[in-house]
Amino acid sequence: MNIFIEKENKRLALAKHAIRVADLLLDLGIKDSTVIVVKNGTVVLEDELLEQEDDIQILSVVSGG
Amino acid sequence: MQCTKCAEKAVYTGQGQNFCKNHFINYFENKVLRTITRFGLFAPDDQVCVATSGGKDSLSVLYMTMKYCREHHIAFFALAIDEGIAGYRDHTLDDLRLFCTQYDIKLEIVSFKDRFGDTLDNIREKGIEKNKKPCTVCGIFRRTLLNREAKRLGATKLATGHNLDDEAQSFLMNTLLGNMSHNASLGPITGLNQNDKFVPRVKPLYFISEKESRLFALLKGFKVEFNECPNIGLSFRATVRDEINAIESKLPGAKNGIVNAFLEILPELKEKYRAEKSRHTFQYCKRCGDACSGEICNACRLEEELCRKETVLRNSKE
Ligand code: SF4
Ligand SMILES: [Zn+2]
Ligand SMILES: [Zn+2]
Repeated sequence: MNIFIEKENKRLALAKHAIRVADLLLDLGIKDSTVIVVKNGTVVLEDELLEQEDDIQILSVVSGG
Repeated sequence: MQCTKCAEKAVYTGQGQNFCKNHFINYFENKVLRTITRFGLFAPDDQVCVATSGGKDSLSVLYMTMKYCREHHIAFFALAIDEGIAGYRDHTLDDLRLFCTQYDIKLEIVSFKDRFGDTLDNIREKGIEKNKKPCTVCGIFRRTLLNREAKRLGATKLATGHNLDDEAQSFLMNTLLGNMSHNASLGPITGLNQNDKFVPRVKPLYFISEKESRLFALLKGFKVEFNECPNIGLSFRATVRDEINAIESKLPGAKNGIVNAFLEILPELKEKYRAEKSRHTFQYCKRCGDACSGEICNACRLEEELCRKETVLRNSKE
């Protein structure tokens, strides 16, 4: 799956069959209260299952100063 | 996860409830409108100035103030400060201009360069006092300008985009530093004493978390690019912010808890420090006339410092 991490302006291609949002964030070391996860253009919650062909954006919610 | 109120899929979960897009927008708007009424943030004869930057909080607060004011026939406009931070503020100001055109909102932009003679980038470059971080300079100049310009434009209230996270951070920062008197000036309406030089500041997003604010902006289709000031990492606030987020992850609702606990002690704090303050007579800055606690205000002191630096630099080149 293709993952875009907004805060770091970084793109990752992850070879995972399926993973829940909560586990993905844990793997990436990102705190849930600091991001919003978007799957194929729709906001999804922690329990959402992400699959190989999905396009994921991890948007940062912290303000810029 | 399904919306608590309908059959749609939820996009938000918090305080034991899940909301779909529409129910989240409802929840968000109601929470802000309730904050405005509960604390009496706006009155019918107010002229409201919304302090904006183009970031998500400022677009959300501008949108909600617009919604409330247009419905209640209260005059309002937007004011933005351009500190002169290349690669950051220029982008957020573009987003802001677009937003104001789209919603037909009057927008005023004033810059550090016009009012204080230089951009923050250049001021930083010159490196005023060694112990002063750019955020200190930025904060003092921005606060001063917002007040002065709001006053000049006839505002009776200054609405800011401060959210729940900001408030929890400020309260903890002041507390960690032992500055309880600073905590007395926080709250949904800031400041301690009424003063004709000071436009009261109000915070319609007081109970809105950073996450809710970004989600609202996203679902409403506001164009907000993620943008972080290059100086943010240097601030004490960033440290406190990260710690609070770590706690919130383990203990959801902690931010609400901090702010609600603070609100409980706020009336006593205000009373204590108001009494203490009113014992001193108010002073006015000798240079600009603003209300201040010393002979000249912080902004003027900084300006003079900058002038001196400039002269030294010029002389050393000659
Ligand atoms: S991070 Fe510091 S320098 Fe940047 S906008 Fe905020 S206060 Fe100003
Ligand atoms: Zn719903
Ligand atoms: Zn002054």
